[in-house]
Amino acid sequence: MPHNRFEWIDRLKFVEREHRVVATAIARLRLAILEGLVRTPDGTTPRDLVAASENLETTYLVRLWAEFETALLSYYRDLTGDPEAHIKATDLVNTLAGVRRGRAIADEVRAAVHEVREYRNSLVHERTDPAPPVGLVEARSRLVTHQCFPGRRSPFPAARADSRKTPDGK
Amino acid sequence: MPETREPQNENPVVVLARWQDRLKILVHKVKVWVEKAGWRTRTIEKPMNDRNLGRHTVPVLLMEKDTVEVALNPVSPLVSGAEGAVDLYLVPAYDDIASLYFEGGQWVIHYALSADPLETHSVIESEALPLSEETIIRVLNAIVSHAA
Repeated sequence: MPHNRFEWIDRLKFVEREHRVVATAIARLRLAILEGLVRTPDGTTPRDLVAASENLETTYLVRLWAEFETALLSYYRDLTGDPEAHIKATDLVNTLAGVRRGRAIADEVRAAVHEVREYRNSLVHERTDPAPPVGLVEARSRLVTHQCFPGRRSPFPAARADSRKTPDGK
Repeated sequence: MPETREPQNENPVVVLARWQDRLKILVHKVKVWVEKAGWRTRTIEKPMNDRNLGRHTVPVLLMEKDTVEVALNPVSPLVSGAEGAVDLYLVPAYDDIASLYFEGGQWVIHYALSADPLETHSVIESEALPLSEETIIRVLNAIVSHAA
């Protein structure tokens, strides 16, 4: 498992990019089918293609969250020194929100991540009280923003430390 | 986006060495240009694990001005239609600002001009320009002015 923040951020960006590629491919396939150039794959119908298109973004959102949660768990295990540590996703987000060198992650960043988590949960668990939807790009933006802060290996606080004083003057 | 081209079949060691050399030159150039324009910079090494190139590191240039932080982040030398891609992201969200492709022996910057440059998905126009001091500063200044 990578421990470098940039590697994890790349993984989240790759999910977004993959979604863009697949969405484009599906759109082109639909067009080609409409124009009679190709047929749907064996054993599938145009309805399956429509469903694939409609469910694509949420499918990738679930994957995006999985990558994010894995990254946080990796940080957590690194911080605690326990490679087998387990912790609920909610607690993971909240716990790692408090460990940026001398500064907590803004509450709104954490709240925005929880909104993504709630939406992902409503997708996976088909809750009767679905959470408000969050688009994939917006979700990636929120998760990467959180990702940039937790832990002790971020290059960003170090970059800022070169040019700014922290609130406690250190 | 550049047009699709046949995949490279070169020795991965050669591809990686050339890619790292190109990145080193690119990062140095951009660093000098943006510092002249008042940006603070820091270069870090990002580890990557590429299926074809193996584990290696690439330089990431972090730039900061007036509370705006931008990362020049290498993607891969193995991209369709070009000999490498580097993205320009707005930090910390990593929203796309622009992409740089090494095409025809030079870096070209593909910049999506939108109604609001911070809203990367309401693209109304895009352009591809050879990378120069003028073009990179123009892109960065647009981001700063919209963030203000």
